[in-house]
Amino acid sequence: MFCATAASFCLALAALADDTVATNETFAEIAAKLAAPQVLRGNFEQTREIAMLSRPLESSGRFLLSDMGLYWQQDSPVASVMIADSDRLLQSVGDGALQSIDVAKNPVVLSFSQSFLSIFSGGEAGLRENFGVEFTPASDKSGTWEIALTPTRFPMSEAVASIILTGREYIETLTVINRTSDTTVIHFSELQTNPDHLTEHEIELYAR
Amino acid sequence: MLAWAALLLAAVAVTATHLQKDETWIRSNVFELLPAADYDPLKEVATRVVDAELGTRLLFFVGHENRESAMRAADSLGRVLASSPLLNSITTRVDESAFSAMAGFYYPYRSRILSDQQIERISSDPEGLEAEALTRLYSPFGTGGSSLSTDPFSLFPGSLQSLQPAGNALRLEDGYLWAERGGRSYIFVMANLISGTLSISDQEQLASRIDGALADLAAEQSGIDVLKTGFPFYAHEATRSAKGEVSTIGIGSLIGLLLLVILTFRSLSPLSLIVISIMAGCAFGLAVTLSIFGFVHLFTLVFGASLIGVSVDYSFHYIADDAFGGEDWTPGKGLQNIFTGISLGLATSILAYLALTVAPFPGLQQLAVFSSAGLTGAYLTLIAMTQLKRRRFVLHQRTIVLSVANYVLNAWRQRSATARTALMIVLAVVVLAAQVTVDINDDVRMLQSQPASLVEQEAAIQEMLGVAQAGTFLLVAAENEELLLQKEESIRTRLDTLIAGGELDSYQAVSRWVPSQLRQQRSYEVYAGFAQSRLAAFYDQVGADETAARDAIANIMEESPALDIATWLQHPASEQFRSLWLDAGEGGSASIILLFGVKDLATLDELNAINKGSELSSLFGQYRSRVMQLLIAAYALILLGLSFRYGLRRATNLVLPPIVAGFLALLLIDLTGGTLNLFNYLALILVLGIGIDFTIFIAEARHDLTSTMFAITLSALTTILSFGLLALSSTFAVHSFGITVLIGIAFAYLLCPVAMGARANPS
Repeated sequence: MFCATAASFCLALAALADDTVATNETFAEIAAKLAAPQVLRGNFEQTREIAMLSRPLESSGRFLLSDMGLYWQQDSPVASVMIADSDRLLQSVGDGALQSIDVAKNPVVLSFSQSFLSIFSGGEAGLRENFGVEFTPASDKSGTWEIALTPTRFPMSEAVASIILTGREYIETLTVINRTSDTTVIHFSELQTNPDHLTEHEIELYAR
Repeated sequence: MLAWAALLLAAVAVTATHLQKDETWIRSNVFELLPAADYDPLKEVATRVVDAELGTRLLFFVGHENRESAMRAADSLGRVLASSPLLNSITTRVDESAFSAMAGFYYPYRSRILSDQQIERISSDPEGLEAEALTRLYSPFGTGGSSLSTDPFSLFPGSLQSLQPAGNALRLEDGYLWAERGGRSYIFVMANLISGTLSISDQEQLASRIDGALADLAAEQSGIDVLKTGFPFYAHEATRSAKGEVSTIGIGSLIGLLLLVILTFRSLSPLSLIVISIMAGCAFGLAVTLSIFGFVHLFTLVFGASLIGVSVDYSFHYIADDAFGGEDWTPGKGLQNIFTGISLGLATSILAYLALTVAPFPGLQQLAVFSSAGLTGAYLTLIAMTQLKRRRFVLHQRTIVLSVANYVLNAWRQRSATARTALMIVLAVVVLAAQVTVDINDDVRMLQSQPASLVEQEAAIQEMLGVAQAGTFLLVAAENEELLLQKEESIRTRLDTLIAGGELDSYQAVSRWVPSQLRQQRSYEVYAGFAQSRLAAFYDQVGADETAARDAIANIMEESPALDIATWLQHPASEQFRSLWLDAGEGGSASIILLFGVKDLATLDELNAINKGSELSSLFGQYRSRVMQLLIAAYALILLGLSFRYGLRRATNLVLPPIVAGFLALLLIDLTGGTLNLFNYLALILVLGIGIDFTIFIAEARHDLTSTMFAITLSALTTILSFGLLALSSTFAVHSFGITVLIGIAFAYLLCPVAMGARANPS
């Protein structure tokens, strides 16, 4: 807890320092930085290309990440909510109540949600536990680094060929390339780590 | 003497040849005691399959606070297990490709394996299914559209899930199956024995190898604990505790016997006579048994040896005759004095034991053969020994044994012959009439000694697995494969109701993995109907390419081939379960439905569930009532035989004391809160064999009754010291046997002077 607080304090200091982008950060540093915030909020836009479809599926909404797990709220084209933590997964459709998906009986789904959680908050160890990692440091010009992840754990490894993350201060895009060569690109925007604790309203969201 | 020596040599030779050519000459498997041919051969096959399924399985959970450490420990346990030649198919990690192989196997049949819930949902809530499919399509956690053209509503994962038996609570990580308990991670490890019938030495070897491995694990890494369960562990533990007890009780009774003989004779030489005749008796018994059966069961050896112990009587009468014989006593005269008595004693015992062979139970037959042959051997040995030159036996004056003998004798002498007979008849009527009130419990689980630590480990393992292991199953048969699968399906509907009601944890049935053609057809129709009415609109909604959508719909609607049993049986997906499908021969098809966690067998009555434990209990019950019937027959035969010599009235006086003593023992056990089982009744055979000797010797006493009563007192004391002490055993079966012998012989001894009225020539 202390370390995480200290790290986010450092992060805040770094942010204060005029948004200077360190160009020679190592993978370990990036991974630590990704896992550092106590609470992360933001918007997402997802584009999914599927071979059979003549146009990609587009969706958007908001998300919230904290030690209570990932809260993923899709607003468009249809409303839905999903909550995932290390050992459970809840899903709602439309205005319907959240339904628990029995992860013990659905190891595939659990594997997906855990892999995602490890991307957002696992740190270097968490990432290396689930993926083969290939890191491309940021170039001076764009300041954008790239991390290519190859799933090593079953059953994720059966379905996903690779996951590519890019970002500067934080993950900005997440691209999932399926073994069937369908691809999903998620753009994150308006990321915020303040306040560094969940508001009452946010806690209610998890409790839905 | 020479003839006897030749016989003994022959017996030893026969035994030695058997021991040399056949390593499994001694067996401890309980099932070999039971009738071999069940009336239903199919049931026998099924029982064998289920035995192999459950009896050969060793289950472990390797636990540690840290899951990684637990996994590494599970790996090293797996390596040790794999190095044992007695084990095969050790599972520490689930082959992950097997999941993909299983999915790959069923995917072509996806329209034909919809679950009940899916079929119901398609008709009641198609919009809901569609909305879910849409959500899944957008979900960041999912493979999105990979199955959009072949399984657009993503029904296949649910169908595949429904093929798995409910209740398995284990989770999968990196191929390890694990469960959490008390904040620790436990990794599941499984191994199979190569054979369900392990010899005692194999059992020992396996158990010590595993215990050694577990100790090594704990030493290598602190904080490791391992839970284990499996039939072999129980068997090993039972053998071990029985051995330990037998040696403790054995040493106790040996010391008692030595003290008794030394206090009575101030010499050990009488003991050597007894020991030699009993050992020679056992050698004869073993030789004859091996010649007839080819093997000897541990049960036969233990109980048979105790029945041969009856022959101490013969030795004691010879010794007492010597000790009381006076100056002009010679071994020849001594033998002459006791010859009629011991010959009659032998004849009645053999008669009683041979009555046992009438029953169709191999266990009892072997016991009867072993005991009869052994007793004859001991008898011949004693006769041969009388030819040996030796010093006379000298009685220690004022021995307590003599005082007791005189006291009991005098107590009866003070009553008139009529009073003695009347008392016996009243006692007999009361004791026999009271037998209807005794509580009998044949439950085989009560007879097995189950060490608390193993029971606790098994309970913890069952809790983590979510299913209880049990030998309960249903045997299903029908004219052909399709009818069999349909029959299984209708049975499963009832089983599902029981599961919902908490009466059952889970079951395994072939129709789960291969639905009947009828069911597959219905599933297909529902699936195709759903696609026809909804799919075009759905594809349109998500923006599918028109041509691609048309092709996909056409493909889905096209009737796919049905899954049949032969295809499944040949595929690795069926490997763990194909033994449930039986080879029923020409007559039709048959299969096993394996049940887990049956709470109350009565709920399965109408399904004709077969349970190993209760089958065994009922067999033990049959054994018990058969022993009872045979005992009655034996008593009748003995009464008839003795009537020729003594007349019916006197013969009755000879037979009643052991009868009253034996049944009084049962009654007292019952009155003090015990329940009766097969082993109490087996003990009655011993009580009868020894008790009838007591009365015959009284009736046949040549000179003073004191010498005979003295011999009987010694015989009763030695029997109580040797077999009565088994009452101290914590193994319930052994205890039951011991306590019955203890009480029964005590009463047979106290009552035997009743026979003095029957003496042919009162002196």
